[in-house]
Amino acid sequence: MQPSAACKLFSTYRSSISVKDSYVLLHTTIGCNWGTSAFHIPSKLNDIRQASTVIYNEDVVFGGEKILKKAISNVIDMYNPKILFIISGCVSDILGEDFQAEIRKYSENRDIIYLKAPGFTHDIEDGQIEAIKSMVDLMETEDKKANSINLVGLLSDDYMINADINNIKKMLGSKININSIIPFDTIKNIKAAPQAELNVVFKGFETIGVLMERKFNIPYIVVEYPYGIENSKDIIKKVYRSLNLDPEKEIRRNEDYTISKLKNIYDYVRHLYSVPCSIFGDNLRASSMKNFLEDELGMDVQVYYESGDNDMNEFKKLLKDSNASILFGSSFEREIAEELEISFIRYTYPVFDSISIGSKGYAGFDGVINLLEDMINSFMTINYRRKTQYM
Amino acid sequence: MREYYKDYCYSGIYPSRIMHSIGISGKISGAMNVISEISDAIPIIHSPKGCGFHYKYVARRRYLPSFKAQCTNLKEEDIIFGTEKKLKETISKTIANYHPKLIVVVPSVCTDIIDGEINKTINDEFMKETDCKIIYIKSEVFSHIDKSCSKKNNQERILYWDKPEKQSGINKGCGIDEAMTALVEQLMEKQEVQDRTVNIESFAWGGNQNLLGIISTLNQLGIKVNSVMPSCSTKDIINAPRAKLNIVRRSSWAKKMNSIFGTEYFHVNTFNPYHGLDGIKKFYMSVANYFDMSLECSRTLGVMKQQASSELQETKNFIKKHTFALYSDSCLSVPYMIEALTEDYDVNLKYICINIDYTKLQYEDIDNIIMEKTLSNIKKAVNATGNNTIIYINSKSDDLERTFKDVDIVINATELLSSFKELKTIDVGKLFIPIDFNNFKKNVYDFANKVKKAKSQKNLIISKFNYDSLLYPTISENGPITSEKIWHNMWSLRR
Repeated sequence: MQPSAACKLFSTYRSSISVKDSYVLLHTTIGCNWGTSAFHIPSKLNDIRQASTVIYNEDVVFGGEKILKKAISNVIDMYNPKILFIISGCVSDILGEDFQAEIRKYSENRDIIYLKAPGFTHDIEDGQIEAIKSMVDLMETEDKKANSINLVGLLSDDYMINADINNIKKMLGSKININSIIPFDTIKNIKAAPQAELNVVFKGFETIGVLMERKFNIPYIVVEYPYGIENSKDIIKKVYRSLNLDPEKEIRRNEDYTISKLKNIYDYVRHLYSVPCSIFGDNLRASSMKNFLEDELGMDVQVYYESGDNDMNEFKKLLKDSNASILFGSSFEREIAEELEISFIRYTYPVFDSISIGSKGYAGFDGVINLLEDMINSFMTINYRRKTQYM
Repeated sequence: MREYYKDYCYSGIYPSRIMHSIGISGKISGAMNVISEISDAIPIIHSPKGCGFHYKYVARRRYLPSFKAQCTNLKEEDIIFGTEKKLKETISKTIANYHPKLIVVVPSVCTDIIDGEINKTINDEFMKETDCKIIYIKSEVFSHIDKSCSKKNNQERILYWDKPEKQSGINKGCGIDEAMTALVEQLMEKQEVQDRTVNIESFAWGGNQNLLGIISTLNQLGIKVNSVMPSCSTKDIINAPRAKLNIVRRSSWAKKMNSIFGTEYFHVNTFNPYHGLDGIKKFYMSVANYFDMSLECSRTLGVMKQQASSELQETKNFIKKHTFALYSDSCLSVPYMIEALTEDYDVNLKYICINIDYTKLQYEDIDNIIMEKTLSNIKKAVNATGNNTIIYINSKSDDLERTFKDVDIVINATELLSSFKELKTIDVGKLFIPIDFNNFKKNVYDFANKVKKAKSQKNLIISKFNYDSLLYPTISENGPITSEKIWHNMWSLRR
């Protein structure tokens, strides 16, 4: 079996490290520290805020309390974070460790959240949600800000995330104020999330929407990831209507802008019609990508495969049996794309063989332009029959 | 079909249609296409530097420039006093730098104007010091094929739809023939002819996969492919006369080879006689006849055909379960589409909706005779299907909508029907005509997949652009439209 997603520890980590001024202490063996950081830092080399207790044989025999306390002291003395996430993994859970009471002693002047995330229990999504729920516990009721929203479900090591957020802000226009991005924000902003009038919850994070509605009376809408014109329009419509604003002008502005740009490449876009393709990714991004490729470009999505409990061996077999000439996936799918000598677009976690620091995102209306640019360029630049055209 | 789609995407993404709507490449381009396919050859463009620069970009293989192409970089003094010195220098440097097996000198308008006859003594000079062959392309005409050639081809496609053997097809084009003829006259050497061997011209088979399919089938029939020209080595071309038969898309160079070396040729002027299972068999039987292999090939092909037919039965039954309407606003191709759809894919065509735009016909210089013949061909094609297909011409939008609602799927050629919401459509623009059973099977499977996945086009980005009704699918903006029309006017003057 070849896993198509990481474990609960990774997802807990992803939500925790997304808090911009947090520190993450992994009470794990060294591999978990290595793997999580490997997928977090490729485009954020200066955003390293994590440590490991480096669980060793003696900790398994005598318990991990001693080493954990030492590590916490190290983190507090040397970094002094506003919020510290302590995430324990498989070993600690097998040993039946519970350090809640001990950890509380370090909580003066800071928030400390202790999350148990053994890799053998639960799905990847559960870790993400659990970590964000712990942040909801820290939120405080405050006065509402007019026309303000929270975006719920964006993580700091999602590929192109900074550019995507900028694109989302841009497409929503100046009337909408982004109050907080959960969990990819400072802890101060996250705590102030209840100031928003509306939670815009990305698919898969509904639990957080429900919880915050119950706790802070914030209504929420569930949205797809904004790949493509239609998913982007849908977000604008839902947000504006929820806030009793008229979305039409904003939609027209965005759509006109996008089409005016795409006119420059209209015949290339035409060329994509009915081209067979394949998509792998997390449910949020992959399903939205599918909608865009099928409905807006007319492409033929022959293999659609979501990460989760699925076996990548099966995905590879399906892909090999298909006619797909372009694959959308994470860095791990590059090999199969190379084997089949087909074009490849990275868009879903983890991406570690490309960087993203500029303004190129795939979300929103600008994202449509960028994505099409990359798709077409991937066709034009692929190493294909470089000696002669025939034979 | 992946390899076919890769070809379509990676080498075909370039905006060929738009570029050709405002111009066509010069004949150097065709010559460059031929020479660039020879694995160990280098072209030298005998011209000022502009031609040497931009013709590295080869019109027919836009994804793959001729990176190593050289240029004689002619200056004013060369035009006045002669180009020989520059040519010798360039040949010398090219041999020193690249060690090619073949150099092909490609003439330009400048050398054509000054009638720069390339002196054979140059070749003799270099022969003493290198084994690199040096040949020269001779210009047949000053510019490109004339306008009337493609118009004649289009007319013949209509007039002789049911008699394809009468269509003369491609007989001149883009410098390809001139370059191929140069290979025949100056490079090939007399060989002992081997029975049951063929050469195949590389170009114009609808992509590499079709070409590979043909080679594979010939092998199965016991016919050896001696060379695929010019996508081979210099040595392969020298030895080409070893083959008994040339299978070609252009006949001029094949005629020349026949006259010099006696090599027979089978001219595949159009694919239309060879579509579908029967057509494929007919293709190989035509080849087999040259080798007196009719009986054995007929048996083998019969088995292959039967096997393909059985394997396709289930898929064709699936297609047959659906009802279809064919919508087209380029009616000249409709007779061919009816044949292919009904015979090859077992499409049950309930309606054919044709939109005839008379302004467009006038613009495209299609006269009444051609138009009437087209409509007559459409009726004949429909009658041949044995179905009670109803033909509508220029239906109003409401009527079209009613018609479309009465079928499962609308086949809309290259046109888009985004204004009809929730209409299930498929575009057959990317179907090609395979000339081997294996590719044919894949093609039918691919079509069935399209049927299975037929869906509404209401949110398509390509339907959000404003297209010009006359020049569709050119975008409706003053620059592109004006330039296309002016090109059309000026090009039309060249009879």
